[in-house]
Amino acid sequence: MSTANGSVAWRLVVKDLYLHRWLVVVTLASGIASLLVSGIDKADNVRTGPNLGLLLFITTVVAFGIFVPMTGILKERQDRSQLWVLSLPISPRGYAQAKVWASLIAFLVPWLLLTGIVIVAETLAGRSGGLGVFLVMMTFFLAAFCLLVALVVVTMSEAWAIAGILASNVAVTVFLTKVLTLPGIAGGSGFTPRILTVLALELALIAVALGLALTLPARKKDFV
Amino acid sequence: MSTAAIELREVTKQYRFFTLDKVSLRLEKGLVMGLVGPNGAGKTTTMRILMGLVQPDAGEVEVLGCRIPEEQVRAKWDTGYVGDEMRLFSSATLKWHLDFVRSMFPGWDEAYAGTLLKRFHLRPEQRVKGLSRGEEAKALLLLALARKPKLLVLDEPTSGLDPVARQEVISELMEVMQDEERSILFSSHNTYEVERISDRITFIDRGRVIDSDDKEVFLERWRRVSLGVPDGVTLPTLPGVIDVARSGRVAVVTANAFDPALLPAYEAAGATVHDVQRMTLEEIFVANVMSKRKERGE
Amino acid sequence: MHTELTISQADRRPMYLQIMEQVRRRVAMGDWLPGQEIPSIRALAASTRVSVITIKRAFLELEREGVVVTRQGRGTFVAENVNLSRTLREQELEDHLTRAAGVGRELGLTSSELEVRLRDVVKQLAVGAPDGGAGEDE
Repeated sequence: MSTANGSVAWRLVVKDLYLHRWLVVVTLASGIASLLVSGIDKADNVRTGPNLGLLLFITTVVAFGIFVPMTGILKERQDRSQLWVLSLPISPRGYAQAKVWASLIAFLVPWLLLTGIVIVAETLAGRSGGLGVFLVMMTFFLAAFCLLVALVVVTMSEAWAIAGILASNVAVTVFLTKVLTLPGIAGGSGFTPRILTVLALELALIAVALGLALTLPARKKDFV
Repeated sequence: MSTAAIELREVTKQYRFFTLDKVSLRLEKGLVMGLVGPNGAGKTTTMRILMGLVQPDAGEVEVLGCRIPEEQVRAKWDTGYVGDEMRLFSSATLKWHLDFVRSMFPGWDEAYAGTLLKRFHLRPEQRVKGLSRGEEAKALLLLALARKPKLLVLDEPTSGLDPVARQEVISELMEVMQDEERSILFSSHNTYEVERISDRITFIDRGRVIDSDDKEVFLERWRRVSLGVPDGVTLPTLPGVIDVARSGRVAVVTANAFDPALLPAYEAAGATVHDVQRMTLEEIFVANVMSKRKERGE
Repeated sequence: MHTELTISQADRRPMYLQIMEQVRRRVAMGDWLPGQEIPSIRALAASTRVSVITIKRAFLELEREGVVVTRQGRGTFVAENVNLSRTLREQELEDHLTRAAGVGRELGLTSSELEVRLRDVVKQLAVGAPDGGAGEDE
């Protein structure tokens, strides 16, 4: 029966990916468009293209990271379709875990594609020096996303989710202005020790966030 | 292991403003149990406990021989639950929901699902967003019924339905009962409906089960007796009588364990029996709730 | 064999009595023949949209009256030697009594007063009233 249960959880993941499909497509389109914009370098001193493109790109990834848990987890609960899903052969714990995996996969699809596009494009253009910084930034978005998912799936509360979104916005700003400008990161070519340290910290944060998201909801007594 | 479809023993669940207090009930296989109670009595909480969505503070719960919440997944394979205010995914079509559930349940009856679609006048291509409240209620029921579950747990399945739709739903529920291995627990505000299709009836009020019995026993136990009481006559206190409402020379006696021997006893005391009336389930329910509340001094 | 019985909410009699009356009528009218198998309790419950326990109770009472017989594990049948005229007469009596009780209530008679009236009529019959009339106004 455990395999059958596992297959129900998997079907729930597939269902979420299906419901997220347009969001993923829009994110990919918007991400690619902003990358194209950032490639328009008029060689003016203001660097309009790259700056605008980067801003659009960051906004796209951050917004997507907010939409996924808000529509996939919170809205399902507020809509009461969660109650219907829980009438299927799945435990509240299995349900919460399926939610985490579905959110993560939904986020990783555009994340991996966009990261890959940038790596390939930069490498082909012979500008692979900035990739370390870029990876630090992308991994940071992934970590912020995982923390938000953990917060939402554990609290299942809109108020907490909004608090989490505000906090992550502040964190993004601080990260972009303070961390990415640190010596050894900013303008760093390749993977400096500092870049590797920050990457390691980000990965650890992701592991902790996912660990909490996958275990804490099972301890709750009441799910609805 | 018990053969009951549902068994709750002394189940307690405390909330800040509400307590489900030592609820015990048992539903044998092959029967329909109607759960009747005012709003906020604990019907929805009881059903959520049965489905493992709410964990009781104390007591034991078994559904189809599975301990709840530990073995809820096993129980849910054979249980169809339609909760109050439960919704489908608004952006998906009914067909998508049908495919989704079909892919999960090996016992899904496609022909029956098709029949139900026709009987409930539902179109699979329609998005849930565009369904009326009643249509969505029927769709939820269809998705549960076509799984052919051994147990149906239905919280207000006919609320919000027009009389014709209600009739269609009741017909399908009774169709389920052709199979003596299947059982239904449902709650309803429509006491006529409960009186009509239930084999067993449980009254619940303020978190407590105040009475639970076979329907026919309920209806036989309760009577209302109109008495003429001349001045100076005091009515004796008789067993089985829970309420005596006297105004002037008329008294109305309500009995929850009516015995024809009551009548000569009243006449011996000097009263005359005008009339003995059966009571509808609704009248029984209200009288029951009032007397239990009075007993507890609430 | 059509199996649908009807239950009326406006009918003040309990549901099992309404069912008994309809089964008796079907048997009396020859719709259901002696020895014929009657639809199962669960089938009747489904088609009538009434609980299994109510149909069971009606059948139990009908068996007591000798209208139907239940053969363990084989189902329920119309009794072979069912006394059709008796069944009909029982029905007739029931109708007359109901009507009499109704008129009595309209006249403001208590049930004990009604009982006394009925007893008087029975006594008169025993004494040997020639026409056997039961005091009904029809």
